[in-house]
Amino acid sequence: MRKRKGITAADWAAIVIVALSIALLSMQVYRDTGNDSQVVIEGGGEMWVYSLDTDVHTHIPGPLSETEVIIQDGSVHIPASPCRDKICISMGQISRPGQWIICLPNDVFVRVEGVEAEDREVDDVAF
Amino acid sequence: MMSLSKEQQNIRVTEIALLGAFALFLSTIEMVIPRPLPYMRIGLANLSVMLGLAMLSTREYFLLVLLKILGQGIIHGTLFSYVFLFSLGGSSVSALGMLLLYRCLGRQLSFIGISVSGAFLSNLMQITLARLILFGRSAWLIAPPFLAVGLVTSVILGLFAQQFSIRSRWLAAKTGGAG
Amino acid sequence: MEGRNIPLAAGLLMLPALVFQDALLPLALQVLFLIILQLVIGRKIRFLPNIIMLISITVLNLFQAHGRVLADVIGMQITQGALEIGLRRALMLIGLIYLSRFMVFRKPRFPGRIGRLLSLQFAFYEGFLSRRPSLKPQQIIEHLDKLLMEQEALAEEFETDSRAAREEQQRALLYVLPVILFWALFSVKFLELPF
Repeated sequence: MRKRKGITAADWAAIVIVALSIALLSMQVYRDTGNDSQVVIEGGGEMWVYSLDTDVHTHIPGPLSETEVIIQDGSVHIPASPCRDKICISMGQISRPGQWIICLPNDVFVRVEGVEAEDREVDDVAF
Repeated sequence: MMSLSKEQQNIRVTEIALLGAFALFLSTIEMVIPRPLPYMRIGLANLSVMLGLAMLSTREYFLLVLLKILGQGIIHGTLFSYVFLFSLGGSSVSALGMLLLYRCLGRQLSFIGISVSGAFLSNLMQITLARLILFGRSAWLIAPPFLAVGLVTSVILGLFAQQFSIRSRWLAAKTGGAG
Repeated sequence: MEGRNIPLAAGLLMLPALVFQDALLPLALQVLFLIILQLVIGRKIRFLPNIIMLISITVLNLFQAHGRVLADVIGMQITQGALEIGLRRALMLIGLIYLSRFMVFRKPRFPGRIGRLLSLQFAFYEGFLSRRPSLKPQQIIEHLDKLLMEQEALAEEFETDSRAAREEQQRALLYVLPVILFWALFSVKFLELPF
């Protein structure tokens, strides 16, 4: 058996299986890149970027003081801010691309960027 | 006295240590060959493991794999680092897979197929560990080229191993000519 | 304890100080220390592999944006958090590798039957290395085959040198110094510097 010098059919099968797996993996990896939703925070000329999947508790500095931003369980919200009307806090949790929260007095703008999985479907109807 | 008890258990200490040293030697040669990246290994040491497949019992084979992993860890000085974990994970998964394939499909598969499968399992395991410990999700970005290179090198290695197993008189003596 | 096992023990004592280091600057200092330690024990350091590792691990971690954006390069954002994570992982790996090399540089003896197997393996390994290389590609299989047969023929019990072991014992105290220094560097993290 070992004396056979040539490559066998089973060898080819193994090679093909491995090659196909690699191809499948590449398609998966290179399609998903850049499609994970991100949280983009802008304030005072600076920008912060986080993945929506992470847990982050950060303070964004502004003209008034610091605005707290929390990213947790796939959504973002502002729990505390030095502005007078606290509108930004009342805007609640956002988690889908396109949504945003803004605190004008403290110059903090939070938005979610990305491509929704559903957006790839052709059948969505928008009104 | 210890080697005596090993012999009583029918474990061939000399052969295992010799193959293990051979694996280290091949691994050392591989370090000398210039490579584009520090991570890209041809896995020459697997030649020794495949020889072990052909001539060792199951227990001896696993001892060989253990010796290879530990030995490489020591001479490369990576014994207590993440790299050792990668080596441990990759080598054990690969060794187990190759053993199963050899025992079950040994008639249909030559060392080419075994080498390809073993290398694929090893690389996949290493990427998974790298994703967890070193690179985060970005690990998958380098996975396809890494695996593709691994596929090519493992085919070449498998061809070489097959040739070696046919022409080696040392191996022939060890396996009684049964191959 | 045998002389050959002392660096191993010292290194194990130093290991937690490295692994639990989460601040970047102390970690860099510790890695620097470990590199100096390599030079002290007489090993040569090759810079290129380290730099490649440092850059590649850091860059790959930059793909996952995290934190304040420092710069925008070729469409990719370089974030402070990702940079710190990448640097930390890269430095940690380099540090672990050099610490490992330090631990095994006196060829420590491992206990048990595995230890004896390992010793035999290394004896054969040295044997392989000491043969003259033959560089004819057509005959490479024959050459390797010959190596195997030759080494096996030389298989004897390899006795260890006990005299050298006794001399090492007196130098054991020397190894306390790096352990203490290393832990001192570790505690720099408690100074809570910006890094």
